[in-house]
Amino acid sequence: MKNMKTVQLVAILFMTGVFATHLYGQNNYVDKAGYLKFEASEKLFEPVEAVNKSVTAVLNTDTGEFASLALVVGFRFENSLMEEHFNENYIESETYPKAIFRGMLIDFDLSNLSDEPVEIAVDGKLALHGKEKEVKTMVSLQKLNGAVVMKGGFTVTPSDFAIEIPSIVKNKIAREVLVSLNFNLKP
Amino acid sequence: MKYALISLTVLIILSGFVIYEKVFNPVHREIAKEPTAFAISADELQFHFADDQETAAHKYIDKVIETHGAITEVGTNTIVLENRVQVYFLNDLKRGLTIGENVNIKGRCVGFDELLLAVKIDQATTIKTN
Repeated sequence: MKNMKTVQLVAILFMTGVFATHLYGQNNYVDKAGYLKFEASEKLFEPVEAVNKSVTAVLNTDTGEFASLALVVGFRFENSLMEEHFNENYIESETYPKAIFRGMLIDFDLSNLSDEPVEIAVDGKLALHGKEKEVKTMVSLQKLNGAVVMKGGFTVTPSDFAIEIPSIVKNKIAREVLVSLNFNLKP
Repeated sequence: MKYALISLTVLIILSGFVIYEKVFNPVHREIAKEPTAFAISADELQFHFADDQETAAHKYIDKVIETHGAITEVGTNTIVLENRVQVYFLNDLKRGLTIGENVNIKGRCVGFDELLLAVKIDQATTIKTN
C-alpha cells in the first residue's frame, strides 16, 4: 500500500514536471509576479481597493493566446477588516480560490512590437466565484528590454459573478469594479 | 467640576477612537510572528495540491507554512523552490539568493497556480539557508 502511494507520488511529480517544461517549451512569455488592482470606491467613503502582486500571466507569442491567474487570497487591502470581509463574505476565497482569465490578443504579432506602446484588443473569459463572464477590452503593449509590457484595464460588476453586496454597505461600494493590470512578460 | 467634566468628555472621545480603530481597522497579520501551522517540503506541498486541489486548498490556503527546498529560479523579490513552489517575499531581500541554494522559508500559502503548476506563498521571510 505504501508502495502504491510512492508510485503515485513519483508519477504525479513526473507529470507536473513534464507539464512545467511544456509551458516553457512553446514561445511563451511569462510574468510570475504580475500586478493586478481592483477599485470599487465611492466618493466620501473609505477607498475599496486591493492589489495583488503575485499574479501569473502567460502570453503565447506565436498564437496571441493569453491567460492570467490570480489567487484571490493574494489581494491585499489597506484595511485588514475589509480584506477579511472580501475573502469570507464576498469572493468566498475558501470555496473559489482563484480568478482566471483566458483569451486572445487580436491580430497579435510580436515582430510589430517596439518600445512605442500600441493598443491591442483582447477578447476572452474571466472566471471567478464559480461564474464566467466574457471580457473585451483594449490593452497597451510595448517591447522593453526584450520583455513584453502589457498595461490596461476593464470593468466588471459584482453581479456578473453572482457576488451579493448586502444593502447595508451598498452605497459604500461602487457598482462597477475597475480592474487594472500591469504585466512584464519575459521570454 | 467643570474641569472633570471636560477631561471625562475628552477621555470618552479618545477611547471611542481607539475602539473604532481596533474594531474597524485592526492591524494586518504578521505572518513571521505567527506560529507555523504546517512544516512541509516544497515537493510534498506541491504534490498535495497537484493530487487534490480542493482538499489541499481547504487545508493550506491562508495558513502559515514553513517549507524548504533548493532554489530553481530567482526573480525580483521572488524565488522558486524545486520548480514547484513560488515564494514572494514580504520585504526586499537583504542579500542575494542564488540558484541551487537550499533555503527554509516561512510564509502564507495563497493557493495553487494551475498555469505554472506551482503552489504560491506570499509575505514570506527566510528562516535560514543551509
